[in-house]
Amino acid sequence: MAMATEPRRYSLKLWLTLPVILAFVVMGLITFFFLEQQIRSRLEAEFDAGLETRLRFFVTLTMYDAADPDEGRPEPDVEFDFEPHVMPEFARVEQASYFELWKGETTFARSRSMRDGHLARARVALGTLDLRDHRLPDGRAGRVATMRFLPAFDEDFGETPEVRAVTFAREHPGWQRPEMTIAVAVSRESLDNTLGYVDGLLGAGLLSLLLVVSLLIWLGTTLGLKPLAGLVHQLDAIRGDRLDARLAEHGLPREVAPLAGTMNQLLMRLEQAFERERLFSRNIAHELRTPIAELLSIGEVGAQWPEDPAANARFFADIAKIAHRMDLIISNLLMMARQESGLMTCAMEPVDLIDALRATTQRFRAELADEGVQLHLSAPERLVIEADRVCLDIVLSNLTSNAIHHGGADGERRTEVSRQGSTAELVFENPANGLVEHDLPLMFNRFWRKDAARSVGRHVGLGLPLVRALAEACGWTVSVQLTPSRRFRIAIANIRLAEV
Amino acid sequence: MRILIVEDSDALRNSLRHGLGRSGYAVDAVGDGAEGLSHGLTGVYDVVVLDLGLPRRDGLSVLTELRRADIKSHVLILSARDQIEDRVEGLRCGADDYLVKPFSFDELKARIEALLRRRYNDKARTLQLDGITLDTVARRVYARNGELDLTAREYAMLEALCRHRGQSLTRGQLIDKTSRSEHECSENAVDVLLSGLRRKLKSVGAGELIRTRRGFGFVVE
Repeated sequence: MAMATEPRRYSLKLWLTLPVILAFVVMGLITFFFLEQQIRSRLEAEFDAGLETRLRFFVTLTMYDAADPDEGRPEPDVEFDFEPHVMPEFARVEQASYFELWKGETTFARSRSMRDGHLARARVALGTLDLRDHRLPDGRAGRVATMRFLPAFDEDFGETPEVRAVTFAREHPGWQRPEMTIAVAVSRESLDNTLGYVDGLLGAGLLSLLLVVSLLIWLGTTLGLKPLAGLVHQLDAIRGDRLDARLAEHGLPREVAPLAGTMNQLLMRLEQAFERERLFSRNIAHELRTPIAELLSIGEVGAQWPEDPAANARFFADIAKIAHRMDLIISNLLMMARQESGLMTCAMEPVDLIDALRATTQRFRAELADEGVQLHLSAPERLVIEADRVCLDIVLSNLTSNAIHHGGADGERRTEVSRQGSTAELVFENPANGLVEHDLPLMFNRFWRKDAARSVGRHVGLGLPLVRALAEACGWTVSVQLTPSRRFRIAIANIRLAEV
Repeated sequence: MRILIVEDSDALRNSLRHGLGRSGYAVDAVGDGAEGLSHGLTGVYDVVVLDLGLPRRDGLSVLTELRRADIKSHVLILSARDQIEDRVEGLRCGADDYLVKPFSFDELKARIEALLRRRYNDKARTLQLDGITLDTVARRVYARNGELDLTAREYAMLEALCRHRGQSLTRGQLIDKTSRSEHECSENAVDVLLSGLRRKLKSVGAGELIRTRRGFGFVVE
């Protein structure tokens, strides 16, 4: 027997949820990194823009002044006009920003926050801005902007930058303005904190989304499979000794409801089959054991008191009846067994059905007289059908016997034969004698007898099952019904007419 | 002792009636459940031998009704149904014993005797009184000087009186315990039977065993 595997619904949930989780993780990582990169770039760009602005501010403060002996400047020189109070962050010690201005290779000016320190000087081309990360003098992570430039001419040289350049060149031919390098360094901690916060926010958001979606998928699958789980639970409860259990069909989804309906149909048929088997076993035990019990009792009682001739005569007569009954049971059962196992072969040949009916009625004339009934035949003069003679004889005998003995004391018994195109139909009809609709499907169960019939010794409850078995072997159909006028009617149809 | 057989098989019913009658029991036999119930409710039977598969009313239904009516007769079920659940069901419905067909007639008799001993609270096989020994199994009576030759009805009457020792039984009660209902037995016939029985007991010195109590009946002290 195959071992049951894990419930499919668990693997279904797993196989639905896992790929989604994986897809989410991959998409989440891609989204995370993309978004993070975009935000980082924007934030860093804005940061750098701020840094550049400061740097250019310092560039604007660096002027090339004209000579002014009164101010102790005999020749034109660079002047750096920075007041610490304007940007106090460059003057303080804690959380400070830094700048350093070189003239050529020499430090020209630096922020008070620098104290005795220096910034690393990046080698940049003239007019080029260099931005890079740099460890600040106080150890904090920072970012430094560096630019090499020529200081602008002071307005003493003229009104416009072009005039100033011309004036300088005229007044100091061959002179060059000194190249200046400014480096401004600020802490990037706030930037890093912001970036960290954004990373955290993004990560938490995506993770939460992943968890929520996974949970929703798991819950959705669980809810969706709940009817199936309920069905499985009900099926688990069905046992071999509890075939009356049925699955609840109401409340099931449309996709699953037909399954429950089909299962219930199967359970009903299984229960009926088990009940039929149980009754058959019980009946056959009764039908086979009772004759043996009868013979045993007769034998022992007869042997103990052999001197009673009247009793002995009765016993011997009973023995004969019992033997005949057992023969009937065994013959009928064997015949049905042969038909069911396919061993029975019907030798079909042309047979006059009307002749066969009349012959059967003639054989039963003594019983007809005993019961005081008559069998009325309504049929054409002659009707040749394809039949196995032996099967036909047994079928007609059983139906005639049933009509005689089960039709009650009064009432007409009728036999009708009619043509239905290329087939014939044979009908036996007699008073219903207590039969009800509920009895009709049971009549073909072996050993079934209506209660009153149990007292009729010659019938063992195998007649109709045998009739059906033999009729089907010949290709005929058998049906029973109760008419509105309370008569029982059994019809053998689809009897093929012989080609004469 | 009076026995009712409820069995739809004619051959079995007749053979049992014959055998148990020849064994000294008063036997009534019917062939369907409705008649069986009617007899069981109205008659006084020591044992009812009841088939289960009966027409008109099944055996278990008959048994249930008898017990509901507080009928104290012992019931022995006789059935072809041999499954444990069938036997359990029969015993739970109130049967005192269950015998599966086919069965030995001797076994049936022995089980009936066991039920009768139980009915009279007498587990002994023999009844002894006043120099007389009744073998209730072999249905023989022995005196000091040998066996007493009693007819079946005489034995049944003596056993009934011995089992109700100290209790007066009227003529009607003696008829119930010793006669089949279809054989009308007059009170005069009981007197004749008693007279014959007393004569045989007297021949073995136990003539005073059965006493008459005027107005009450007959008693074995």
